Amino acid sequence: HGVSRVAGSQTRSDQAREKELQHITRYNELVELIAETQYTVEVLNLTTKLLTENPEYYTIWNHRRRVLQHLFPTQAESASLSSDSHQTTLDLITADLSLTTSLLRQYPKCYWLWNHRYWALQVGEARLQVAAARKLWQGELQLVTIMLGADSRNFHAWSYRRFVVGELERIPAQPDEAIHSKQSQSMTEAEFAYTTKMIKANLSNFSAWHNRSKLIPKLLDERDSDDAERRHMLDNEFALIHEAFLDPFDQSIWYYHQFLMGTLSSRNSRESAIILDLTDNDQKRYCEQEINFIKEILEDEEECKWVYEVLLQYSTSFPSLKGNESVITSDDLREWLSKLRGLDPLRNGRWTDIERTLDLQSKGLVSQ
Amino acid sequence: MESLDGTDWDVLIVGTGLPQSLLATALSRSGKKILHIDRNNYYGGSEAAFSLQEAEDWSRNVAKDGSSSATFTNVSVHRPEASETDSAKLSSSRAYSLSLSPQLIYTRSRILPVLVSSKVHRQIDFLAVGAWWVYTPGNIAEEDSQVRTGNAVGQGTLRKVPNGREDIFAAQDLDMKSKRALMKFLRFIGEYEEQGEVWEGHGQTSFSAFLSGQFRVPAALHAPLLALTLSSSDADHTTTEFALPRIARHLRSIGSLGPGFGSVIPKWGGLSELCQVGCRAGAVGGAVYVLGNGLTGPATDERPSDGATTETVTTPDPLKVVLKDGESVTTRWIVGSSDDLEPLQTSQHEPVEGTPLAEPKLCSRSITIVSSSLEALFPPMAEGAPIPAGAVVFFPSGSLNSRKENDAKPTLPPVYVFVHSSDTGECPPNQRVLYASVAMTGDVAVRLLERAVQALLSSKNLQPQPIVLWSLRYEQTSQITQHKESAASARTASPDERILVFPPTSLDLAWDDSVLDQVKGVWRSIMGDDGGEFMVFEDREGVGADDEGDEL
Repeated sequence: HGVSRVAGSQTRSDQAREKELQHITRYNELVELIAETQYTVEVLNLTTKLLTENPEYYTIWNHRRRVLQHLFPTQAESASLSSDSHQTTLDLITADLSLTTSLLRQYPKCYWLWNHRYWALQVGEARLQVAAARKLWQGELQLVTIMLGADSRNFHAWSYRRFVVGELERIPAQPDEAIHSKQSQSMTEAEFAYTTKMIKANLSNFSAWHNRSKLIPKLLDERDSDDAERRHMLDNEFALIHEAFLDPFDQSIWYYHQFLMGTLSSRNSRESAIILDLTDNDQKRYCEQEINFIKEILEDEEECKWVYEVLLQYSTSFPSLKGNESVITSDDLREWLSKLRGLDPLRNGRWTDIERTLDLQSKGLVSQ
Repeated sequence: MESLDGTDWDVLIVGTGLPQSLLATALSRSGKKILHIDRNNYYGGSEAAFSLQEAEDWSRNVAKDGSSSATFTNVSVHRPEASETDSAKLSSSRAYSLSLSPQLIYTRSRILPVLVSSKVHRQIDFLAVGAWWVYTPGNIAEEDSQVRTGNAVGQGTLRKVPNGREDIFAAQDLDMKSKRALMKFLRFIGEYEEQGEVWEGHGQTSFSAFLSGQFRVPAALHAPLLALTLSSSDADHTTTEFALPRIARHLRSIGSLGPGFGSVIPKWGGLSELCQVGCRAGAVGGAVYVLGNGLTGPATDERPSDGATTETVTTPDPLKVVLKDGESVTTRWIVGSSDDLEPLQTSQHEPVEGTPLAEPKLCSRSITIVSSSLEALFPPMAEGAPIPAGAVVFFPSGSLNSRKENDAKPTLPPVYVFVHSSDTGECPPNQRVLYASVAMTGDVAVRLLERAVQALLSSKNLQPQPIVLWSLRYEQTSQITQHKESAASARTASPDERILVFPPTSLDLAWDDSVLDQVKGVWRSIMGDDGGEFMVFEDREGVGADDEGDEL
């Protein structure tokens, strides 16, 4: 959002063509070898060469995985837990993690690199001792933190981070020990603090806000929060997002505000719930409070389309606001719509649609 | 060392100030025969850096020989009495490298890529400038207590200037309306060139009026924005058209060389380091360097006596000029600053293009060494950001005066203090150097600088109060002063096109790329169309291209 992706150079010189012909030759060689089920180290190296130049070529990643499966010590060998075979497996996995790490530096958003790492770690967990496997996952958390340091808005990294945290919470820290309670290994508190840090560093971080929205319900459950504490959390989050209203042009804060408002809806799922004992009065109170806060923004900033969009959206979604002329008058609605038409003329159809809906609502009171 | 008498050169560069040093680098691959002299025994001219001893010598020389330096006047050194209980003491002279030009260089300045393309950047370490601060006075003292304590104001505080949206978000002491107003201005400044309709009608109005009128920024928040302009005038006299590009430059530079900072300072003594490196490049290219030598008397034409001329655009007929010890040399070109070329007593060739507008012409400056690390002024700026080595403190006009003084006098200019940590190599560890500057001269100016330093050291952020170990005061001008003799002498000759003059050092506290344009102009006159690209060189043999440019 607002940050352009740097495109590689598109010029095709003779040199580039030559290189490509070489690739095609090598690839064809590779395919033959695979067809002959020649799963050797040489073939592995061939895939390394090809993938280093084009990591997006997912078929080659598939080939590579086949080769590696073949190169791993057999189940019988691993079953004996001989340190040699363990080491071989670990070395192969570590090598692949290194390869993808260095490629991720150049192509931090390549799906196949993240997938391959996931595969490598799954294999690691299946074949390695628990302690070694857990160490690999901790390495993953470090990697993803570094990648987020370099580009805090890389949603691949954020998604992967959630996944890694999930795995670390799942794999026991002590071998042969089952997890007694969720709390003992939960990383939710730390992850929640991490989103706070990332937001303070850059408000426009869609993924950080999104992650936060996923963590809060979980956090409340883990803390065994009572109703008062839950309300406190919601109030704090609204207070935080109100501070972020200093820049209403930042779309990401509106997504988070919509999440918070979403938790007030009767259709909200238990998984994403914050307050569990929401009454109709509560909903009315929160809605009115929020509408007023948002309307205040218009005193300072009239040209921000997100503000009008959000106001209209809430007006139509919450029963306590629909037709509630004490908070939102029909004049308000008409004014916001006309502002939107001016600010975003390409979506005229949508605004007309909303207008129709709203008019129907207000006209609907007149019986036929 | 062999005598220079009777030698013949393509270019004679006089003075090793920054423009001359950059020119030496620019010419270092040209194969021209270059003689580069400086009447001082050190490099750097007006951009030099001094050890304590050198500063004291300089102070004595300026007092003794006033005409030799029109640029600097009224230099004095002060060593406060060291009490026995003071744990902090002044270190040896050479532990200090005090800069006469502590200008900060914005990371988007053109000089930085030029240093890279000319391959001299590896010899320079750049350090980050971090937080900017605005001084807010405590209770303004009444006249009585001022007389008693000698202080004009009570204990003040330093407020950090927000560097962008996230700083404003985090600020505890601003209300929502103020935050939104600042944000609106921030958004505007990001692309102000495309929003001419908002400001073009107000170009000449005061920046303060513009902020209140167009953005409803409350008056209390004008100072942080004004600080970013480094304007030498107070709020009412700083125009909008002056302020906007400078604030835009500041905000756009943040992050361009690394997170958390937007300007840098060279290590080891400010711009003097660039002079050293520039001259070194010149020397490697074959130029001959002689310190302690300068010009005497006017230049005379040395056309061949048989009338045959080999003159071309880039190889004009030679001039003859006499040096300090009576040696006479011939050269095709003479380049220097107006100060360095003063003995030639020619009418000044028009300063080369690109002199910036609205810069101060006079200022009073001080350099103060203090005994503490002033840690509070150097907070880390961002995750992964380098530790800053510089900080800027802005004293708005009137903040250093009592109410009575503010009423009595016309508005005084603001004071700026650049604080440099020992990471710059300018002082030993656990000491700091304060460079203070105000755009006026005279006793009032000296008092303002003193008060600024005192106010800074006694501010609430910096308890316990640090001790002043040593200080230097001087005045500097950027006006071309004509000496009486040369004014009287005939200005009959039109400016000689073989004599190229750099204007005096700018008093702007931030580096201005116009210096680069001036150097390029001179270079082009000398090289004509055969010079190749300005300041773009290949590495010399044996020099590696392994390390990255700026070391931070």
